[in-house]
Amino acid sequence: MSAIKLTIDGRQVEVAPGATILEAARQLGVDIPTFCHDPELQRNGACRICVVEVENARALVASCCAPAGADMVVHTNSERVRNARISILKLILANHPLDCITCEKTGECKLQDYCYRYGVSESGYIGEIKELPLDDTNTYYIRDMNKCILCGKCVGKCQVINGAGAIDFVQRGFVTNVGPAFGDPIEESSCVFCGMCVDTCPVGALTAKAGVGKGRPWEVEKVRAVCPGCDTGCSLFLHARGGKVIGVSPDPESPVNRGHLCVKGRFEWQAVNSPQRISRPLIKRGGVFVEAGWDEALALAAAKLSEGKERYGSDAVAFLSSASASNEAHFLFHKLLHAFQGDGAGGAGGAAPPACSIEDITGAGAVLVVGTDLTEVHPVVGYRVREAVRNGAKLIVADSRESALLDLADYHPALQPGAETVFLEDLSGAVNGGNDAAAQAFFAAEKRVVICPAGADFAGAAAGLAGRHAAALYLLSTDGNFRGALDIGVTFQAINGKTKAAFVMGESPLPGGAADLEKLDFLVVLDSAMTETAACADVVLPAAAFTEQLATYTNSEGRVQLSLPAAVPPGEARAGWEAIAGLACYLGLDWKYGGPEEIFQEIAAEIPGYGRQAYEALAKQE
Amino acid sequence: MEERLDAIFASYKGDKNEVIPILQEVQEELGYLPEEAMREVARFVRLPESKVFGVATFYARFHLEPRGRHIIRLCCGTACHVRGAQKISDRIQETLKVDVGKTTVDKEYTFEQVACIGACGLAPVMTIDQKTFGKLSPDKTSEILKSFSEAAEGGQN
Repeated sequence: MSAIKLTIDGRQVEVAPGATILEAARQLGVDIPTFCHDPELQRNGACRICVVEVENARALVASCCAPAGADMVVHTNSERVRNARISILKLILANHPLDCITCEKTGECKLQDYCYRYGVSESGYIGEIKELPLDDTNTYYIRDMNKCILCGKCVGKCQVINGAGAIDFVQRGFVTNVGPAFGDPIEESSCVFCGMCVDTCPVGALTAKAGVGKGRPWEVEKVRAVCPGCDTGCSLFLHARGGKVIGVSPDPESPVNRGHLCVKGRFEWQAVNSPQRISRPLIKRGGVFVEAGWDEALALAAAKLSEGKERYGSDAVAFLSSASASNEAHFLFHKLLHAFQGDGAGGAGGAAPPACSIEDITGAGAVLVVGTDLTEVHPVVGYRVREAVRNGAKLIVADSRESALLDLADYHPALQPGAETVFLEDLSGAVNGGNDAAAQAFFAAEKRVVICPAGADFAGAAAGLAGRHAAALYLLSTDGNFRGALDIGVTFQAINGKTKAAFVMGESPLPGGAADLEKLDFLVVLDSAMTETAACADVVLPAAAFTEQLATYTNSEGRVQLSLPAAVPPGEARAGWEAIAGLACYLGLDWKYGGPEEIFQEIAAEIPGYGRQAYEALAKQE
Repeated sequence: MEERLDAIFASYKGDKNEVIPILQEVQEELGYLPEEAMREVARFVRLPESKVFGVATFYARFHLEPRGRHIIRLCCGTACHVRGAQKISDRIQETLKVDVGKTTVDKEYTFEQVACIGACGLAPVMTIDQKTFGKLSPDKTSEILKSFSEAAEGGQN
C-alpha cells in the first residue's frame, strides 16, 4: 500500500498506512500532549488530552487512536482543540490533590506541565473527591491512588510487558481505581517490583521511596550506567545529587532494555548507599577487623601471597573472581594472575562462543527456554520472550521447576532435574520434529532461539542443538560481566586441598562458600560490601560500586557498554582496577595505569572483538 | 468449597474468555463471590487475580459479600424519585437497620437501590425477590416488610 499524505497544522506529511495522527504529528515534530499513550501498549484512548480537529469530521478525535487518513487536514492547536484540552484538564483537576509544592513529581508531572501550557490553575468544578488510603507498606515505592488519573499505563506495563499482573482497574465509575486484587497492599500481590509502573506514571500517584525529599528533577544529574545485576546489561540513568545516587530511571534509547528494568536495576542499586559498605582497608588481627591504610593492607597482602607461593608453589595461591567486576578490573586481575603464577600467558581470551542479539528473541518464531526461570533471574530477557509470544512465536519452556513463564508457554516438557541434556539431544535428533508437538513447533519456525544458562552442564547440549539446526543461542549468566570475564580469558580457578592462599575479587563463586575459605592460611578479598566471603578474609580491600567508577562491561550479547560514575566512593574505597594495580606494585610489578581508558586500550589491542569498540565511540554514546 | 468449584470448572476449558460465565455460575452456587473462589477462578482460567477481581468489581451483577435471603430493590429512577423514593429508602433503612447496598445482620434482607425497573406508572416502586410493590408510601412499605418477616417466621414454625 502506498503512503498516506495528510496536512497537519498547514504542513504536509507522509506516513505508512495504519499510522495514527499522533505518529504523523510527531514525525513533523508537532508536540501533542498525551497521558495514556505508550507506543508499546495497546491504544486505549482513555485520557482524550490528545484530541485534534480534523476538517469535516463530526467531532474532535483522539489522535493517539485515530488512523491518519489520505488528504486529512488536521489542526492540533486550534481554539476548539485548546478549549477541549482545558476542559479535560479541569475535569482531571476536580479530583486531583493540588499539593504540587511537596509532591515528588513536581517538575516532571505531565498534568502540571499541561496545566502550565494551557493556563489552567484550578478546576472550577466542585464535587466529590477520592479519599483512598496511601499504600506505602513495601520497601520500594509509594502508591497514592488519590493522584491517579486512570491513564492505565501502569496496568499495561504490569499485565503486558512484565506479565506479573499485580494490578488492574478495580470498580467502576467514579470510584474506579487501580490496584491489586482484593484491595490488598501491593506487597501481598504478585508484584515483582520491576518499578516500570513508577516510571510510566505521568503524575505523582507512584513514587520511588529512595528519592523522596532528596532533590527536584532539575537539581539531579542523570548519568548513564550499566546495571550489574545480571549479564543482560540494561542501561539506566543514575540520578545523582551531592555525590550520592538518589534514584534510577531506565534508558528508553537503549537497544538492550528499551526503557525496561527489573527489580535489580530499578531498586536493588540502593545497596550502594548501604551501611554495609566497606570504606577503608581492613586487616584481621586476633579475629577482629581493624582499619588500615592502603599501603599497609597492600603490603601485607602482597607479602602473604608471595610467601604462600614461595613455600607451597604457585598452584597453592588461587585467584577467584565472581565475574561481576568490570572488564578493566578483570583484565588486570587476569594479568596479575599470570604474572604472579609465572606462566607469562597474559591476555589470550576469546573463549566465549558467538553471541546472539536480544533482538533475535523478539523476532523469533519459536523460543526454547531450557533450565532457567527467566522471570526470576533475567526478567528483562523474559519481557522479550513475552513480546515474541505476542508477535506469534511458539514458546517451549523445558524446566524441572515451576516458573511464572509457564502461563505463557505453548509447550511445557516437564523435565526431571538433570534431564536437560537428554532432552536437548533428543530434540536435536528429532528429524522434522518427529511425533512430538513441541519439537514440531520448534522446527516449523523459520527463526529459532534457544535460551540457556551459561555455565550450566547442559549448555553444551544447547549449543549443539543451536549449531545443528541454525538456531540462535542466547546464553545467560547471573554474573553481570560473565561474558567480559570469559572474553578476557579469566579462568575460574578452584580451591582444593593444596590451596593455601587466595585473592578473591567479589563474592566467592565456590559452591562450598565460606567453609572452603576458612581453611586457607591467608585470604585477601576485594569487594564493596561486607559479604560472607569478605568476612572470612585476612585483608579486605574496599572497592568502589558500579555507580562510582568509569568502567566497561560486556553483556550476554557481546555488547561492550560504558558505565559512567555518578557518585564518589565512600571513604577510601577505590575502583577495582586501581586496587589490583596497587597490589601489583607491591608484588614487584612495574605497572603504571593513568585510568580505565588506558586499560581499555590494552584490552582493545589484545582481546579479539574489543578493538572495534573504540573507547571514544563508547563515550560518545553519552 | 473446592469440590463445588471443581464441579463448575468441569464444564469449562480453562480459557480466559470464560471468566464471566464461570464467575456467574460460581455466584449462583455460593450466593456471592468469596475471595478464595475468585483466586481459584483466576488459577483455573490462568489470569492474574487482579484481572478477575477487576471484572468482578466492574459488573454490578457480581457480589463480593454474602447476600440476604430476600433482595429488596428500590427504584430510584426519575419518576420514583419525584414521587418520594427517598422517603421509602429511609423507611426501609430504619425498619431493617440496613444501609444501601448492604445486608441485614441476620442475612435476611439485602437492600439495593436501582436506577429504573421500568414500572414508572407504579412509582414509587420496589421489588422484593420476584414480587413487585407499587404506589408505595412509607407506611405501606412498613406493612409490606412486616408481612414478609411474619411469613418468614411462619415458615420457620
